[in-house]
This record gives sequence, C-alpha cells and structure tokens, in this order.
Amino acid sequence: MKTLLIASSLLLAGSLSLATFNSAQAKAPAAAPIVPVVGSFAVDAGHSSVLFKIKHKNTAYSYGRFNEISGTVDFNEADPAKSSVTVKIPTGSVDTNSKKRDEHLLGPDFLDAKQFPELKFTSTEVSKLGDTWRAKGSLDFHGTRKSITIDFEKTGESEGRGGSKVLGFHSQFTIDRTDWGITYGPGALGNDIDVTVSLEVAGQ
Amino acid sequence: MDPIQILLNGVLAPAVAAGLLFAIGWKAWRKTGDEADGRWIGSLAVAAAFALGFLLMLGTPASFLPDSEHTPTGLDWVLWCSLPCALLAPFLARPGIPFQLLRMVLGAGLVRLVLSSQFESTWVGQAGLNWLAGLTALFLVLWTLLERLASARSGLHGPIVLWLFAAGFAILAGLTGSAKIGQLGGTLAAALGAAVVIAWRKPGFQLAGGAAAMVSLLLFSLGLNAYFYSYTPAIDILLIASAPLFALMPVLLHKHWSVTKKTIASLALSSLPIGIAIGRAVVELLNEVDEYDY
Repeated sequence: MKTLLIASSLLLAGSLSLATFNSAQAKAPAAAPIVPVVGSFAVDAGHSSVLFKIKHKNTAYSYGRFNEISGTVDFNEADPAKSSVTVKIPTGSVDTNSKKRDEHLLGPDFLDAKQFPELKFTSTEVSKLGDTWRAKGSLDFHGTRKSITIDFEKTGESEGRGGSKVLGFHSQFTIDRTDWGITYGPGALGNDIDVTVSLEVAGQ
Repeated sequence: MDPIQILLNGVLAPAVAAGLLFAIGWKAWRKTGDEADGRWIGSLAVAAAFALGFLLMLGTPASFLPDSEHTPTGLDWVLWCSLPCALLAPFLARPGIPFQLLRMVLGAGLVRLVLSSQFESTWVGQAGLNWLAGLTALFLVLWTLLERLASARSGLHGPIVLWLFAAGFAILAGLTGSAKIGQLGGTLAAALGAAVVIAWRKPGFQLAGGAAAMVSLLLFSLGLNAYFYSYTPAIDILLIASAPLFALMPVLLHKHWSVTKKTIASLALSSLPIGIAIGRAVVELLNEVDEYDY
C-alpha cells in the first residue's frame, strides 16, 4: 500500500510538471513575423569602408581606401522602388599607405582633389532582384557625371545604442577610370578600378 | 604613355608644327616688310603647337558647354582660352590704353576660368574680387616683362630666354607633383625651341607682338594650375616668375653691350632663380623616404 502511494505521488507530480511545462510552452510568444524595414538611415562613417584596387603594370593589384564617407539611405523593403541612396566621399581622404603617392593621386594627374573635392553617388532607381538589390544612378567623379548601376546585398540588421535600427550593406563593382577622364599612366596602371563598399547605416 | 611617346607627342610634333608656322610667318614678314604679318602667325604657331601637344598627350579637353556631362579642369581651360587668345594676342599687344584695358579683361577672364573651382567654392565675395585683381595684375606684369624681353633684340636673345623659362617651369612642375603640367610646359618649351632654331638661322626673327603674349598666357595659366591645383611650392613659382626680371637686367642696364654678350648675361642671370627652384625640388625629391613609382 505504501509502495502504491509513493508511485501514485510520483506519477501525480510528474503529470503536474508535464502539465506545467506544456502550459508554459503554450504561453510562449510565437516567433516574430519578419517585418519589412522601412525608414531613413544615415551612413555610420566609423563602421563603413570604401576600398579600391587597381592593377599596377599589369602585374599585381595595389589597394587603397577612402577614410571618410557620409550619406543617407532611404530604405523600403516593402516597396524597394521607394528606396534611394546617396553616398559622398571626400576625395582628399584617399589613403594608399604612401604619403607621396597619395599627394600625387590628389593632384591634377589623377583625382584633382582641389578642383573636385567630392565623389558622389546618387541613385535614381532602386530595385530588388531576389536577394540582390540594384541601384541605378549617377556617379559624380573627377568633374564627370556618368550613369552607373551598382548591385548590393543587405548583409544584416541589428539594434543600435539608442534602440534605433542599424542595417548593413555590401557592394562590389568595377568602373573604368578613363570614363571619368582619369587617363594618366595608361601603361603603368590599369583602367579598371575594382571598388568595394561596405556601409553600416543607422536609423535617423 | 612611355617616355618615347611623350617625346614624340609632347615635344617633337609640337616643335615641328611650331617651326613650320614660325617659318611661314617669318617669310611672310620678310616678303611684305610688314611686321604685323609675322606677329599673327607667331601667336598662332605657339597656340597650335600647344594644342597639338595637349591633344596628343591628354586627349580632347572636357567641353564647357552647359549640356556636357564633364566639367573642364583648370588645364582644359588653358587650352580653351589659348585658342581665341591666339587670334587676339597680336591685336592686344599693341600700345595704347584701350589695348591695355582689353589685356586686363583678357587676363581677368583667364584667371576666372582657369581657377573656376576656387572662385565657386573658396573665394566668395570680396575675397574673390581681391584674388581676381591680384592675379590679373600679376599676369599683366608677366606679359609686359616677356614682351619687353622678346622685343629687346632680334635674333637668339628673346627666343632662348623665353625657352629657358618654359623649360625651367616644365621641369619644376614635373618634379613637384604633376607630370601633366610638366608635360604641357615641355610642349611650350618645344615650341620655343623651334623658335630658337629659326632665330639662330634667321637672326631677324622676333617673338615680339603675338608669340610673346601667347607664351605669357600659357606660362601664367600653367603656373596657376601648378600652384593652386598641384603641389608646386609658392616660393619655387615665385623664383621662376622672377627670372624675366633677372633676364632684363643686362638689357636695361648695359645698353652698350653686344647682343651676344647681353644674351649670355640674360641666360646666366635668369638661370639663377630657375636653378635654385629646380635644385630645391630635386633636393626635396632625393630626401623623400616614401618612394613609389608607376
């Protein structure tokens, strides 16, 4: 009888625990539905990068970067056509790990930074193709405005310090420097410049 | 562009073009006896040689028309300004207040166009007017000095002294930041080199009137590009700009000297500031620890 009572108590306790667990499970919130991100964002210069590479004497790639960047992104995941991107890069912030070369790059032979202090991309049309985003727009560079199409991906999203939404984007594209009138050193330097842009933008 | 191509496109072709036009002008002048015939072709010869070198080395300059997707650079404006000035220079080189005023207008227009980005973004309001007035005055001083040198004596004196300024400036600009400006200076020196050869063969040949005006315009506007858009130090630009004063000293102070003696003295004296400027640039280059090449 004593054994029966112990077994019954254990069974009851187990049933209660299971019931409590099931009840707790039933009360847990369902996984949040994916809400399309819509909003205006500003480029976070501290967590964004603009890198470029160009072939030297058709032999090896030389890398450089621009150390400053600013811009805004109006991002609309629900209606990609309502999105827009503006990115500005001061040409004076070029950095190729050689002070003398940077000085030459800033002069009239290349970037002509004193005459054209800013490089600017302004989108005119944004669309989404599967997981890839596409921004068509104009690139103002070296006193020349030309149309350009840039594909990019959304690399992630998180929450910033003040609770604002933070998004990440990444893009790689190639431009022909001679299209923008930078023709100096055709034998020594390739015409193609491979550009990598990684943007972190924070909600405004 | 390899060095051989630069020599062919930036030196040889402009020198041949200038030489042919100078020779045609000189023959016309000798034939008619009217000095003005030689003046017209002189400015055209310098401008055509410069334009040829520019096009062969740097390609077509950006258009200044409003619907263009390009903005002309300071160097593009040098070429655009040189073409109408080639026609106006002999006219403006004449003495008289109306022509002086027109020179001033031409100088102000040149400064405003070559330094467009400075006037549009940095020098606003009164600062812009001050810079415009100051640089226009400097241009007029340079024009007057070079005109005086070119007209001081016929023969080698004028062409070889002007050649020295252009060559000195070309080397300085090339050493201090911009190969493009240096190459364009070299093209101007090549055109003047052709004038030296003609003056050597035909001692009656002169650059006064039109050609010296074009040389002033091109040297001054290339100098503006070198100082404001490249990294040529102000002190070196001033040293090169002072060279015409040194070259004029023997002409003004020793009128009894022979042409040969004056020419040698002018070359020797003007070589001093030019040599110091180039020497400074070479020392700077040799002391540069951060080496790179293309």
